[in-house]
Amino acid sequence: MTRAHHQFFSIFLLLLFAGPAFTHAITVEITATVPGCGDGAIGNEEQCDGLNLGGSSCSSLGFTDGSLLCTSACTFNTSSCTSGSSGSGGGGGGASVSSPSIPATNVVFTGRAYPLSRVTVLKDGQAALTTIAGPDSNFSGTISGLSTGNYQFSVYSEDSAGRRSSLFAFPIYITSGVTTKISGIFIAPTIATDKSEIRKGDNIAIFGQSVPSSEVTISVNSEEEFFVKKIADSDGAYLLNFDTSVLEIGQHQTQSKSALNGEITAFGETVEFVVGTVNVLADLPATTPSKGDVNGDQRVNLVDFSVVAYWHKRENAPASADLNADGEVDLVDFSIMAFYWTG
Amino acid sequence: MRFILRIQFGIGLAILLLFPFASFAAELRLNTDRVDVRVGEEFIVEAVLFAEGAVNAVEGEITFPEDMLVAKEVRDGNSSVNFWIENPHLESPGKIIFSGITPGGVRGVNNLLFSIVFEAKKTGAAAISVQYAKALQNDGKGTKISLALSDTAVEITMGDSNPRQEAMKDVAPPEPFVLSVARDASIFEGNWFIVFTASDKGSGVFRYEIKEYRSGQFSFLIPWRNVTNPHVLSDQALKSYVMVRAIDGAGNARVSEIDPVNTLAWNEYGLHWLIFTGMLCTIAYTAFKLWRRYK
Repeated sequence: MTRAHHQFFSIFLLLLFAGPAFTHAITVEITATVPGCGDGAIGNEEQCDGLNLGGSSCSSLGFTDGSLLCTSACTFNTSSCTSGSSGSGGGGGGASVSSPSIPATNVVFTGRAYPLSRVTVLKDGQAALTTIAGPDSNFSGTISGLSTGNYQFSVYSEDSAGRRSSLFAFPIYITSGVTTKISGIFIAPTIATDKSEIRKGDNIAIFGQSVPSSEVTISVNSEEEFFVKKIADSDGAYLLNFDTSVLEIGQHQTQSKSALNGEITAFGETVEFVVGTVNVLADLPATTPSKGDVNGDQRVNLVDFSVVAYWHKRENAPASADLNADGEVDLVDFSIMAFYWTG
Repeated sequence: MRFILRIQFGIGLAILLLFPFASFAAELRLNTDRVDVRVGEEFIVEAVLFAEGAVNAVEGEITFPEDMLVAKEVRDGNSSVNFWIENPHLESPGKIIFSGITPGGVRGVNNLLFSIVFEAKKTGAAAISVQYAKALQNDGKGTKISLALSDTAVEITMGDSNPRQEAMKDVAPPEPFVLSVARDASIFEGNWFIVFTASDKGSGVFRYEIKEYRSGQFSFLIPWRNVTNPHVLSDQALKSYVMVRAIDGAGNARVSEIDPVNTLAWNEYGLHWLIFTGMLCTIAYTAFKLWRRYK
C-alpha cells in the first residue's frame, strides 16, 4: 500500500474508535439539559434562570435577609436566606398561614422540632424537603414550584436516638404566584419507656426529646389517667420515673405533649407497657419503621405501597404485605402503612 | 342553592364540633349544587369527607341508576387522597368504586375525595348513594371509625336544545413526579419494576404512558405504551432510560425520566453499530475503487 493508503485507513480507524466516545458524550449532555432552563430568560414553568431572579429576593419570599440563588433546574435556592423568629400559630400545635402576594409560588415552613434533628416535609405523601433543625430546635425550609390547588403537607422529625415523631399533617390551599408562610409548626415529643413489662410498685422510666426548656406533659393512661409535668433540659431531653404502685395490673399506655411560650403540641406517639409481676426491658428504639417497610430500605413510601397494592384483594399474599397478619391485604393494611409513612 | 349548601355545611360543622363524642366521628357525603336537571344536561357530584379525627384510609362504592344517569367522567384532581389503591372508576354499570390513603390522615370539614360528572338521560328522580364505605383512623392499627353516609338526589325533567355541559378548563400539566426502580421477591417473580404516581390539581391524572430505550438518538422511534403502577420493566439489565408520561383529564402531560442504573458497553449502543456498519461499507467501497484504479 502507498503512504496515501496508510493515511486513509488511519483516518478511518481514528473515526471508528473516536466515534462511539463522541456520541456517548452527546447523549449525556442531552439528558442533563432542562429544556428552556439556562437561557437566562424565565420561562413559563421557571422561577428563575441563572442570575435572572425575576425581581424576587429572600425578603420577598418571606425570609429576613440573605442571598437568593437559582438552581440548575431554574427553581429558587433559599439555602442562603436567613429568617428571624416568626409569629407563632394558634394553640394546639396548629399552624398559622399568611400569604403576601409575590410572583413566585412557594411554601415556607418554620417551626420547632428537636435540637439538631432532621426534619422531613412530605408534600402529598412524598418527601419534598429535608432540613436540619438548629440547636434551639427551630427549623425552616421552602418548597417551590407548586400549582394552584389543595396540598396535604406532613412534617416529622427524628430525635437524637433515632425515634421518629408522629406525622404532623395539615392541608393548605396554595395559590399560584403567592408565597404561603406556614409558621408555628410544633412537633410533638418523642417517647419511650425503659421496660415493656414492669412489676407493680417498681418505677418505670418514661423519656424522650422535645424542645429545650419546654414543659412536657406526660400522660399515663390507666382506669384513672395520670398527668405529670416535666421541664425538658437544654438538649430537649426529659425523663419521668413513674411509680407504678398507683396502676392496676394489666395493659397501660403513655404519651406526651409539649408547651412553650403559649404554643402547645398535640399528644405524640403512644407507647404501651404492661404492669405485671416481672420486669422486662424494652427493646432499643428501632431505626426502621415498625411496620410498612416491605422492601426493607428503612423507608415506608411509594415502593412499599405499590408492593402491597399489588396484593390488594389477591389470595396467598406474603406475610410482608399483610401488615396486620389477618390473612388478607385490605384497607386496614394500608391504614397501618399510612401511619408509619416516611415518604 | 348556596343557602342549602351553607345549611349543610353548618350542620356538619355543628355535629363535628358540638358533639365530638357522638356515635359517629366522620361523615362521607355526596354533594351537588343541582336539584333539578334537564335531560342531556351535565352536573357534578362531589364525594367529601368530614372527620373530627385524623382519617388515613377510606373506601366505598357509589351507586346510581344506570338507566337515568351516565357517569361521563370521574375527576380526582385536588383530592385529599394522596395514593389511590383503587382510583375512583366505573367498575360496572351504575357503580363507582374507590379506595385510597393519606399519610398522616385528613381531618376537618369538606375534604374532597373526588367528583363525578353525570349526564342526565331520562326523566324522573335519580338517587345517587354511597354504600359499603369505610374510614379508618390514623392510629397505626387501622381502627374502624363510625362513618355516617349522606346520599344525594336530582330530579330530571325534559331537556332543551342547549343542555349545560360541565367542561373543565385545565391548562396546567400534572405536577413533577419521581420515578423509582425497585424489586421485591413477592411480586413479578423478583423482577425489577418501576413505581410512579403524579398528582394534578386540575382534572386529575387520567392515565400514564411509558417508553424504555437504550439509545437517546432513536427514542423518538419508540412508541408510548399505556401503563399502570407498578410496572415490570422490559429491560431487566437496567441499561435503558425510562420515561413515564402522566396525562391529565384535559390532555396536559408531564414527563419524568430516569437514567439507566447500569451503563451500556460500547458495542451495545445501536448508533455505534450503525456507524461501524457505515464505516465498513465505506471502507469496502473505497478499497474496491482503489483496487480498480491501481489494478
